Amino acid sequence: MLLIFVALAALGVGRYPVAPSTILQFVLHPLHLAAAVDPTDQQVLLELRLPRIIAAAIIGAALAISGTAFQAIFHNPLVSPDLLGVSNGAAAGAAFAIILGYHSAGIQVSAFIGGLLAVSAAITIQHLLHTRGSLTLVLAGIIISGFMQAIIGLLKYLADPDQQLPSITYWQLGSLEKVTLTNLGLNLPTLLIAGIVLYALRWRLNLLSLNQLEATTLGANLRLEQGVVILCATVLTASAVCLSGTIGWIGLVIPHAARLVNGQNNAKSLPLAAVFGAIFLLLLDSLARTVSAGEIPLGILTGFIGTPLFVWLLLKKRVTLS
Amino acid sequence: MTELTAKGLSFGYAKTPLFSDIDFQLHSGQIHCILGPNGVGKSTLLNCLAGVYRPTSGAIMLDDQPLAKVTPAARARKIAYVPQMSSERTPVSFSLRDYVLLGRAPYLGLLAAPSQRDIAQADKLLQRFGLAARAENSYSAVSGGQQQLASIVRALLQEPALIIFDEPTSALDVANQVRVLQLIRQLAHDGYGIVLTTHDPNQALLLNDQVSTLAQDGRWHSGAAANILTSENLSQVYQLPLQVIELPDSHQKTCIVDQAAFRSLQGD
Repeated sequence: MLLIFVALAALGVGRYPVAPSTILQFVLHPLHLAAAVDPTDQQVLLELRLPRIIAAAIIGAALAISGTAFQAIFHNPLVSPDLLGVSNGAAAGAAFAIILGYHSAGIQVSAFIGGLLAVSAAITIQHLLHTRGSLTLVLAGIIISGFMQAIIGLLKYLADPDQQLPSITYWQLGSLEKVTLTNLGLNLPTLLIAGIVLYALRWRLNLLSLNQLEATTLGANLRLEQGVVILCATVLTASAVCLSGTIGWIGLVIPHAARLVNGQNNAKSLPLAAVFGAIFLLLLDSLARTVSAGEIPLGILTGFIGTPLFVWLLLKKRVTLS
Repeated sequence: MTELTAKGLSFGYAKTPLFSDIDFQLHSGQIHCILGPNGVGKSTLLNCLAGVYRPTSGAIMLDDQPLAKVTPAARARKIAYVPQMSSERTPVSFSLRDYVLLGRAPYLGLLAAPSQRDIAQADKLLQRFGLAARAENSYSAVSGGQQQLASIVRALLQEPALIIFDEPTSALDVANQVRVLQLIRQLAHDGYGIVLTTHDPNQALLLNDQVSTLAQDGRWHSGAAANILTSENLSQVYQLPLQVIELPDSHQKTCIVDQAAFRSLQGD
């Protein structure tokens, strides 16, 4: 309910304000309950704001769901969805495409591939080390993230400082400015499928959050089930990141907020995290569009608002992180 | 009637063997107590019997099927595992009810969650074990004894034939140790086959059923309590002069450290 209200309010705000009555008219018109709205308003709402609002809600939910899943299977509340190097891999892929002079669709595809490549590399390293523990996987993720950062650094160094460098930096800070109905539609299937699978597995996440011994003796096929969760969470993050660039903190902080309200049971906290994530990113994106004439990159806002929020949540929960 | 048998079981990390050539047998209604000093591989043996570790060699059969061929879910419907209560466990912060409900996992599909029937079954068992008032509390916030009871409730919700207990008494005071042993006896009486590890020979004497000993040098003896729990065998297992004596009035057997030998022991 709150999500719908926030979404409707977000339709109204921005450089070109639209009156609440017009929004109501815009929503009710397709249901044949109201007259058509003014063509200019119609265009702003349908082509600029609506895709962006849908994207904000979906990306926020996607990052929060994959954060919840990762925190469960790695038994660690400090894990975020880019643990295995998805974000840095995607950023490297995007930077690569920018240097090669590609535009939006090319950058997105390249970012998605980069993200998946980074995670595959992390999993390969884990296999090379002949261990199956999640700690090795985390370590492999850190290694790959570091490597991808080096690539990004190199690409930035090579980039043309007038055009390419700012767009790489801007991409790394995250924004929903470039979202259109077309590229949203392109990513929607993967986002929906991966999101629905994780939603369906939400009770099972409780089982996977136990240690290996207990999960196995309770009948979990650990390797297979963890693999499915990692795959879905990675696809979810990669799709989100290639739409919006890297947006930090949501995947880490929002699952904590949801657990604070709904308890530790993932069956209850995962759906709430999705709603919280959607509302949070929607609010921040509206803020990004309205506080100043130019847009504030989202990554900056999530950092400024997400970090104190995280401290507050930790204080509230008095969590022991040992 | 369910039966778990192991023949010629060996396990080792890399090139160092932990134990080798172990024969083990357990069936419904039986208590099998595995005794041995710390660090000889008792827990590892349990992990093999639970199907978590693959033994280096040897065969484990669950009824007439090789254990390795049984699917994880089917195995979990036959064998439950009550882990050792130790600080090294991954912290669990679910409510007690959510925690014990994980025992229903082997009966639920990948995408399913516990039904109202499952929840009612869990609440009934929590009630029986005096945990009903704690059902909403976080697992990490209740006492060690209550955590252990919750783990037992979770095992019972698996509706298994056999239950494996890893050091069920190691974290408890004497009174609670005895309570757990009584509970284990009751469970065996109810028809569950039970295997447990302990380092206290007196617990094996109290339970008085099947006993196996695993010594530091890897030697393994298995049989009825009266045949295994002898002064000679226990002294060899623990590398310490131990005596099994019979108390004059009750004829109850108990294992003691010989005091004369204790005094003459030099710290070497």
